[in-house]
Amino acid sequence: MMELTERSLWLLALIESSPYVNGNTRLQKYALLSTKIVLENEEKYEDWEPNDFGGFSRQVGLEIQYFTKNELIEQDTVNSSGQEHHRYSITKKGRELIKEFINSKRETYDKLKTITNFYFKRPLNDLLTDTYTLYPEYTSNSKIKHIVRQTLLKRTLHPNLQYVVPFTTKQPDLSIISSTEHVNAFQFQDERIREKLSAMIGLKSIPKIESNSVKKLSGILENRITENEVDAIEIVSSVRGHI
Amino acid sequence: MKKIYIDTNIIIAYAVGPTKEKIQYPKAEKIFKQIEDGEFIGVVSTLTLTEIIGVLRTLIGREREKMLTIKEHDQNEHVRHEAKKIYDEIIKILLTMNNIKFEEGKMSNFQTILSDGFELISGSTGFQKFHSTCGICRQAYKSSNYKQILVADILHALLAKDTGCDELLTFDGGFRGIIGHEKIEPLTICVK
Repeated sequence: MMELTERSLWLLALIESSPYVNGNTRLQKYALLSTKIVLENEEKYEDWEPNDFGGFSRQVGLEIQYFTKNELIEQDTVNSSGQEHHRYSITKKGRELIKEFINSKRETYDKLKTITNFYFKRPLNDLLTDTYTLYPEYTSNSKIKHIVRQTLLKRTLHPNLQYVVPFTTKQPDLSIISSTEHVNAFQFQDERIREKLSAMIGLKSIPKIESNSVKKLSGILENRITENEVDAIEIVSSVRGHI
Repeated sequence: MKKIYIDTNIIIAYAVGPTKEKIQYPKAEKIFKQIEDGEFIGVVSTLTLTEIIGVLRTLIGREREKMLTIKEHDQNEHVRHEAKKIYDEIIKILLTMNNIKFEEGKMSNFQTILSDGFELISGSTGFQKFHSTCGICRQAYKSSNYKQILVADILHALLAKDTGCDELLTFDGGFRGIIGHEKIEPLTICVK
């Protein structure tokens, strides 16, 4: 029978505790929250570091590869909101392997299951926002703080969106909502539109600000049209319906 | 720093260049220079971006000689495709430009916008214009029309106010009809 460390068994139990886990980011955040909230007195992953999407454990990533290779979990590629990601679920072999472990740790496992099921039907943004505000020490390298800010603002405006994370009395750190720290070169917090526009024109990421780009726009149409004169007011008015 | 909403005609005038847009280009150039120098934040709305696509398609469609060389059933696709190529270039430049903020509306709901828009249209005044040349081909052609605020102009003004802009900059005199209207205050409209 395959030998796994106790922390590996907990990770496998985490995947077993909900029907499936959608995406690496969600899996990492489940692992982070369960490590900090439920597995305090258990053997757990300690290599958490600030990454692009908040807290990240390389060991967890490697473990998932090991589980997949040994058919303890299944990894499907699914399309959600126009993006492809991995969906992880436990196999029969994996379930058999941790059956006894779960029975021996029933109370802790039930708490773990409460956490994963609490977030199972919630959007990823909620999970990200909770991990960011409960554990801000892992957000220094984040590229998605603007998403968390927007979620927090929505919660502020709509009290019905507020909730308490199970098993924690830790106060969320809301400084991210008023932070003036620039997560990248775009100081106006319009990253969401920039991301959308960048994707629309086929770019994988938002282009960086350049010092000479104003000049690039000047006369960009000049050689694309043969008309000798273009009246900017007239052409825009015609598009607006005034001929 | 002031937030100033940039109307579509300013971006188009600057993109057309000094040779073919002799009247508006120098003013557009000055505005973009001010943005570049950080004198104010230039706000570009998604409504403006939508109109840029429309303008580009109109310009490509006017290329009569070129269009006649294209098979009839390919002409629509040609216009769409060529306009998209230029649009992508323009968006990429705007994305890399300093002191440009993109906006798509924030606080107002559609009902409020329509209600305010109705009041603005009802209360606005236009002005009578007489022409002696065709606006497109510049041939002698006598005509007259009543220049007035358009629904799209109203939407721009309300969007500018909604996104917290201090000012709306435009070349279009039609906007004069709503200057000082209570529905757009405290936004200032500046016709250059």
